Amino acid sequence: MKGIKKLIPYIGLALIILLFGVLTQGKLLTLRNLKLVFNQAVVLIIASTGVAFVMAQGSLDLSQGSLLGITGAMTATAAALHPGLALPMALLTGFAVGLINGSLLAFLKIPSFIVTLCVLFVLRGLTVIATHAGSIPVPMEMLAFDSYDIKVTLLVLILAGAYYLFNYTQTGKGMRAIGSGEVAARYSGVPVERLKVTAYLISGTLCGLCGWLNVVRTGAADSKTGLLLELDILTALVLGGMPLTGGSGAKLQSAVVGGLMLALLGNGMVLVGIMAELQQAVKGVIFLLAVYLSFERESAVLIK
Amino acid sequence: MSLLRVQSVSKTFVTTRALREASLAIEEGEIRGLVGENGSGKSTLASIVSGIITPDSGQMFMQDKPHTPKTVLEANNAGISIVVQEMGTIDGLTVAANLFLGEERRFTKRGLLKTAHMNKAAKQALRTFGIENIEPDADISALSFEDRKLIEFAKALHVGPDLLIVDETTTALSQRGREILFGELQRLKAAKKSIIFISHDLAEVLEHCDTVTVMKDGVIVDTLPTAGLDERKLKELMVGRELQQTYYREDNEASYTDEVVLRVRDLTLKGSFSDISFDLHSGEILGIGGLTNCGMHELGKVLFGLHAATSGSVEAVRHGRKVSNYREAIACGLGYLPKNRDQEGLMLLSSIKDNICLPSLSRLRKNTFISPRKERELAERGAQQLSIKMSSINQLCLYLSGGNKQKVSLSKWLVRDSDILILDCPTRGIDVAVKASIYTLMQELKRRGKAIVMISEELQELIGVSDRIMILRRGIVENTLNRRENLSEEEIIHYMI
Repeated sequence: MKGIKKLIPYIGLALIILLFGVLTQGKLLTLRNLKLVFNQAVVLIIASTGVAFVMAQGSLDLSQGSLLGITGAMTATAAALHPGLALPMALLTGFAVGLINGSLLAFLKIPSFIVTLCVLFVLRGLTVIATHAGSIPVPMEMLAFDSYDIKVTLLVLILAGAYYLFNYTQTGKGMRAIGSGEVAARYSGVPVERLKVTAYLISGTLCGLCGWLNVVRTGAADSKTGLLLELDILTALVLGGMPLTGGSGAKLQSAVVGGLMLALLGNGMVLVGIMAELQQAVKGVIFLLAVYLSFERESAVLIK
Repeated sequence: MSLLRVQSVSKTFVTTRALREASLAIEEGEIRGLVGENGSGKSTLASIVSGIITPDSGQMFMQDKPHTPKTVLEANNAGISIVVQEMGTIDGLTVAANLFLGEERRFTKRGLLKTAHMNKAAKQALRTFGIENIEPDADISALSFEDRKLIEFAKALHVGPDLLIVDETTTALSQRGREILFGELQRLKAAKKSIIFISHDLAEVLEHCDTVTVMKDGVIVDTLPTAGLDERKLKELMVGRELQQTYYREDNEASYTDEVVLRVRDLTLKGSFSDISFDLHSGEILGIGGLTNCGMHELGKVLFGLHAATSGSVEAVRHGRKVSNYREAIACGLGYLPKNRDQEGLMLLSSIKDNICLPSLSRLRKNTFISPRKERELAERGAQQLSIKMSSINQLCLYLSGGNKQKVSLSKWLVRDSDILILDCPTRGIDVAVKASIYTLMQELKRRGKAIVMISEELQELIGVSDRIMILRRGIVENTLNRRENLSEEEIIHYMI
């Protein structure tokens, strides 16, 4: 039974490919369409990779959607001064927001759910102000960065780095230990506060990078950029098998498998012709189903 | 007619068969002891009888009526209540609310809970029970471990059970608490009620029970009258072989080197203890004893740098450094075994390997890389050294028995080769076999020049193991006694109270 549970995300991914592959008569799997799916998935996967570190500690990061928005606005504003400033500005913005999230959680001991939800509101407000409720275009030459080569390279480098950090270093192991039992982790010498902040720095900075990717792809920063992204990330990770409690069951693969699943699902629904409003509803139901299938009720009761 | 009959009851947890074809009968007015090593199935049996878990197969009868409780409440209605081994009170509720949990309807009028009525009834219940110092409207989390245990006991009793199950409760109790408990048990017996009393303290079982049932590996070995039975015989039945090693150390003199490894000066934690000074030597086992709330448990946490002291200092002499937080403490070779094993000692939802390796990660790593092979080797070595019973090092700690959990908790400091161990109640709630192996281990560490601070609520253990015993009373060092032949419990109690 336990073995099967681990395979559920992969079975789900296969089912989605099979279902929409048949429904679209193979259109889902054409090279042109797969490129489109990749474009949709790349931001989701990179951002989910960052959030995976946060969730491994048993915390949440709901600030991502607005962070993508504000990073876009900051990036576009910086690019207007000099296009070379765009990427550093994006990373810096993400880093700074991660620092704020992490510090509020670790030092003021406010639950992560509340902290990041509040930051979500604040940043969305700032994004609307910065874009004057409209959009800021970026210099045309920046669109040159929107290439598959760059995106594939970035994705591979990030996933490799994150996988190493997550599985083979004291940082990654310490983070999962916090998810498994914060007090016991502390009593074993894990620097709890420092790692909590570090996780949000990773999550914030990677989201900053996503903000930059998004701007160079669309050519502008919009006040609505990234709306509901945080929920897509959460859904992707849970679909991918990430336990909500974090801990030793947390796997980085969740970000990739879940991200692909969600992107394929969205793309498939568009191809089949399901209207956009209904797509949200479907995602909601699937999220619920994923939690139902993966949640360890027995242990949750026992932990309490 | 027996009050309770259990027939061929079995229960399997995910991987372990916790109970196999267990049968027993309890008579009216009987106090039945239930003993066995950790993981022998005592708690499982108690949980099934009291409706906490349901059995896989088998039958039970209460006063000849089929007994199939699905919840604790259903068992209550059938006349059975239980005091569980771990904490069974709910933080954030008042004493009264905890006491009457599930019975609020009694005090409800037109949908509103009459708190004053409930508090009054709670006060009465506590007073008849001989508890004078607890107010019903106090928040339960503000009470000591012992007081909370007594409240649980009062809760189990006031439903007026025909059968009361007490699961490993006395280890949490001081002398006063024990007297209250055993007084009540005798009163129940006189009223023709029955009791199942689960304990690791065999002397206690022999003294207070009429009969005793011995369990081993999920099977009931035997049921015997306590008259004419002694501890040694009981232990043999539990372990299933003749006990050879003596429990405590055999020498009668303190022995340790001159080298001071931990120097504590004027250590004070406001509200807990004050002006504590001592030197801990290489090869020394320093026992710290006192009543539960004398400050000794907090002292352990301050020594390990988990709480900042109000004033005073802890110096790791070999490193020439003052210890002020837990990271420094670990770096200076300190290790800490907390009293609260499940919350503080272990990550229950992590594997044995992850738990054992955690404090040693900084030693395993090469640059930033931690090799999975090295981790495995370290964990295997640790598990072997303490002969932890497990299916593999990847097993979750959640399903281990209490004694094995304690071994994992200890093992993480042993594999890190810590020089100074602070052990808070190292044998709390674990069986004789594991207890003996922990004492043996402490002797060996002593021989190898390690230093141990052992905080303990058990006088026998303090006398049996320590080189010196420091006794705390209300946060102040009352006396420090050296190991000698005729050191008695009475002498220690004299300084404790």
